[in-house]
Amino acid sequence: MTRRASGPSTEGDAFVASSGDVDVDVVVIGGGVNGTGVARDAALRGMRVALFERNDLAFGASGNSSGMIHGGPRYLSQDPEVTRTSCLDSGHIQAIAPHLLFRIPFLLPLPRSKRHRLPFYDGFFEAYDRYQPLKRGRAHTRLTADEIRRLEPGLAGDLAGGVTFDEWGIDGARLCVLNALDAEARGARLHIGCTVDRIERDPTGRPREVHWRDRRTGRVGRLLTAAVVNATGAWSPITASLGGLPPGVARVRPGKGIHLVCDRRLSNYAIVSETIDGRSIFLEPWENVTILGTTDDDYYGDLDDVVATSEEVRYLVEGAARAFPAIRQARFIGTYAGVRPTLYEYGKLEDALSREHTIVDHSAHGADGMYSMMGGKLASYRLFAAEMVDILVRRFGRESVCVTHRVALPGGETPVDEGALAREARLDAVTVRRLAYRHGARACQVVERVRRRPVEAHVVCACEPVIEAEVRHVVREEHARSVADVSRRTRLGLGACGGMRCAARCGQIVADEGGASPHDGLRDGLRFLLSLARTRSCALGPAQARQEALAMASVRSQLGIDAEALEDSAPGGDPFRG
Amino acid sequence: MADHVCVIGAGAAGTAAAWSARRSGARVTVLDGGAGATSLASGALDRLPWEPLERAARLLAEEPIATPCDSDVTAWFEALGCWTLVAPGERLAHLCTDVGRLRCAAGRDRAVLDFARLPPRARILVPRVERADWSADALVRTLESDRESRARGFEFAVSDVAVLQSEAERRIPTLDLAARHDDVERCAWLARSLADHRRIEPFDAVLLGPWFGTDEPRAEEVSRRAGVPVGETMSPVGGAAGLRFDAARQRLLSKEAIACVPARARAVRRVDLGFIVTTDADALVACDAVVMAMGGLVGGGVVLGSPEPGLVEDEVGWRAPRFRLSFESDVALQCSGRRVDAGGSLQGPTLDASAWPTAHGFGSLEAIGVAAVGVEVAPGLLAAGDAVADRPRTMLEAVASGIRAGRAAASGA
Repeated sequence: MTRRASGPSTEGDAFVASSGDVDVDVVVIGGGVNGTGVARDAALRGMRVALFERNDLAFGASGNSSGMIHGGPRYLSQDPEVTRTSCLDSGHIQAIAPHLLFRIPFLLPLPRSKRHRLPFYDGFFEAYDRYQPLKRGRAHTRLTADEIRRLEPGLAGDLAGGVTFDEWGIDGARLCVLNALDAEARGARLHIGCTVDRIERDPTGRPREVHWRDRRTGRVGRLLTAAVVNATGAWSPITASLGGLPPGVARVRPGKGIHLVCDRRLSNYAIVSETIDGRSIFLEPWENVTILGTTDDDYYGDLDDVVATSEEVRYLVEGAARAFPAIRQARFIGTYAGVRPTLYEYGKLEDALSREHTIVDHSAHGADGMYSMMGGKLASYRLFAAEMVDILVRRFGRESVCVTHRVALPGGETPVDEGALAREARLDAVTVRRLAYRHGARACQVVERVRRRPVEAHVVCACEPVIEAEVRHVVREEHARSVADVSRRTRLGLGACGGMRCAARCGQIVADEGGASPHDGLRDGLRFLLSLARTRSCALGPAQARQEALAMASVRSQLGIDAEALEDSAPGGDPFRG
Repeated sequence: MADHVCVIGAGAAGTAAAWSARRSGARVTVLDGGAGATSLASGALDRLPWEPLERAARLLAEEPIATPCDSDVTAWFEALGCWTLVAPGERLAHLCTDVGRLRCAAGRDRAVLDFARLPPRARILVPRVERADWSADALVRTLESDRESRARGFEFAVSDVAVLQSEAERRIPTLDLAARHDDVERCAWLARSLADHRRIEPFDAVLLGPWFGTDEPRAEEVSRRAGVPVGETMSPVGGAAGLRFDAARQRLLSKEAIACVPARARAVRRVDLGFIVTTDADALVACDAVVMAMGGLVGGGVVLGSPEPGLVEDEVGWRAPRFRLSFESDVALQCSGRRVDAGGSLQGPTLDASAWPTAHGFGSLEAIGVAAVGVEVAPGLLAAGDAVADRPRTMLEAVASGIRAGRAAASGA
C-alpha cells in the first residue's frame, strides 16, 4: 500500500525503530542530491528525518556539475545499465520538476580524417536512441559536412559531417534545494551549516546518537536516531570515520572536475570536442552563459575548498578550440569545481572508472544501521535514493513503496503562465521567466511579495536578473544565510559583472533579513566577491586583465578590501569566521 | 633645460606633469589616448589606500588627519578646480560610497558630500528617488549603523522631497540625469525644492546620487541656494565624477596653452639628444623629454598582450601572452620588485594566486608598471602615476609624482 503523499505523516502507525526512544528514525548526512533525495523519499514514506549539511545544499559535486541530467551515452558500451537507469530517471525528474529542465541539443562533429567512424557513431547513437523515449529526448540524426556547418558556422576544420543527439539541462543546485524543501514540508528537519562531529554507537555497534555543531553559531546538539545514512559524496570516508569506522569502508576515488563559464551563449548547440589526451569534452550553451567542461583528475586536496587552476582551464580551452576556435576570443567570467565521488578502484584511469552507484551496509563493519551511498550520477539520484530508502524501510519492518517519481517537487505541480504573471505583477517578462524557471509555480510567492512591497521589485543582480523579493524569499524560505548561499539558489553574481554590482546590495538584504548589521552584510558581500575573483583569476584572458584590474580598483574604493576578508577568502580561509 | 616635453596620458598624473612642466617654462604636448583610470574616478581622492588607514586610526584611537603636500600639488588642485583637498592638520573628509559605507579621504570632488564637515548630531536627508540606481532605505540603514555616523550622532531620514521633474526621469541613464544638472535653471529648481522642504521638516544636509553635473560640479551652488550642504555619494565606475574631471582637464590644458593631441602613443624612441614619439595616427612628436603617464592596467598603459588574432602557434609573429607597455619602447616592466620578462609559459602568465591582492600586499594586476627610480626611468625619460610599478594606486600619488616628473622633465635633469 502506498502512503498518500501529502504532508508529513502524523499517523499512529509509525515505523518500528530498533529502539523505542529516538528523536528521528534516520539521520541523513550530506545535503547534495543524494542526501536531499533520501531525505525527501524517507519523509514521503512517513519516516522522521534529520538532514545535516556542513556547508550548504549542493555545495559539492551536486552544485558543480555540468548542469545536465544526461543519459551518459559515453557509458553505453561498458556500462549500459548506467545509461538505462540515467535515462529512465531523467524521465522521472522531468515529470516531477518540468520547470527545471531545458533542452540542450548536441553536435558531435567529425573531422575528415575520422570519416570512417561516422557509421560507427551513427550506429552508436541509434543504440542510444532506444533510451531517449525514457527521457522524452529526440532521436539522433546524421549530418553531412554542409549540414553541420549550416547549423553551427563556428565549427572549424575540415569536417566529414557529424551526429546530433539530445540532452536536458538542469540547475543542480535548484534540484537539491527543491528536494530539501519538499522533505522539510513533510516533516524533515534541515540543519544546514551544521556538521556532525561524532556518531556515538551503542555497545552492539549500532549508531545511536549524533553529535552536531552549527559552524556559524557554535551551537551544539545531539540527536538519537535509529539509522544513519552517509550521503556525503566525496566526503564519505571522513563521515565514516566520525562513526568510529575506518575511512576505508566508505572509500571513494575522488575525481575533480572543473568547468569554465563564458559570458554568453557562443554556439547554437552543444559541441563535443576532443582534448589533447583524447578525452571528450563539450561546450554547452546553458541558460544565459556557455559552459566548457570537464576534467577528471584524482583529487587529494581539501574538499571544502576545491578551486580550478589555470592549468585545467588552459587544457579545456585548448580542447574546445580544436572544434570551435572562437572560444579563444571568448570572455571567461568564472570557473567552478567539484569532486565526483566515483567508486573506488585502484589501477584504472579516472575516465575508465565505473559510474554506477552502490550502497554499503556497515553492519559488515560492526555498525548495523549505518549506510554509505557511494558513486552515482545526478541523472539517477532519485533511483539511488529510492534504493536507500527501500533498505531503511525493510530495516524498520514495514512495507511502503517509493512515490518520489509521482509527487511533484515544490513548484512543479502546475505550469506557470509567465505572461499573465508579468502583467499582473508589473515586472518585466525576463525577470518573471527566470523566477518561473527557478521556482516554478512558487514564483507566485515571490510575486506576492512584490505586490505587498513594490520596492522589492528592485533588481539586485542585473545579469540573471534577480530581484530583491527573490533574495528575501530564498533567505526566508530556502535556508540561505549568506550571499554565497543566495548565489547558489539564484545564480546571483555569477553573470558577466562578476558580482560587482550585486554582491554588496545582496549582503545588505541578507543582513536585513537576518537581523545582522548592514556592515556585516557588506563584508559578506565582499567575501563573496573575493571568492568569485579567486575562481575567476585562473581563467583571465589577455582581454580581461584590464577589466579585472578595474574591478579591483572599484572594490577597493567602494567597499574597501580589508585584510580579514582577504584571509577568509584565501585558500584555507574560514568563511564561517565572524 | 628641456625645450619641448611630451606627456603621454591625460589623466591625473599626465595633467599634473603637463602643468608642472609648463610652469617650469617648457613647451608641452599631451597625448590624450582616451578614457583611462582617472575618467572612471569615484570622486574620492586618497593619498594612501584608505582601509588600512582607517583601521590604524581605529586601533590607535586617533582621528586620521590630512598631511601637508608639496605647494605645487596644492596649486595644481586649485588650478584644476573640480577637486578639493583637505587642508593639512584638518580631519580627513568622510564620504559615502555608492553602497552606503562612510570612508575617509584626503580630498574629494567638490560635488561629493563631506560628512566630516557636518555638525555633530546633524540630520541628513536622503530623498527617496524612484530610480533603479538609488535605494534610499538601504542607504539610510547602512549609514545609520556606520561607526563614524554613530560617533558623530548623525540622524538620517528618508524623505519624499521632489528631486526628479518627471516620470521619465526615473528611467533615464545616470549620466543623463547628471547632465541635466549642468543647467543652471535645473539646479535652481532643485535648490528651491529643497529650501521649501526645510519649512516642512528641518535638516542639516542632503545626500543624493552622483547626479550633479557632468561639466562642472554643481552641488556647491545648490547648497548655497538651499542653505544647507547638498552633495553626492561617490560615483560608480563610469559616473559623473570622471566626466567632470575630463571637462576640468580640458579647461586647464587650454588655459595653460598646453597642446593636447587626441592620440595614443605607438612607440617611443630615443634619438640623439631627444625622443621621437610616434602616435597611432602615424604623427611624429619630436621632443627633448618624455613623461610616461599612460596608466597601468586599468588605464590601458600596460596591457596583457594577446597573440595576434588569427595567428596560430606555428606561424611567424605569434607571441605568447605577456605583460607589456601599450607602446613600443625599450622600457622594462616591473612587478613586486621583480623585472617582468617573457615568462616561462607559452600560455602566458599564471594569475591564479597573484592577480588579486592578498592580506600581504597588492595583486600583480595592481602592482605592475614601469621600473623607475622615483620618477626617473632613464635620462630624459620620466614616469608618473599608475604607470610606475609598485606604488600606491591613489590619486594624490599620481598627482604628486606627475608634478615631480613634469618638473624633472622640464629642467632637463
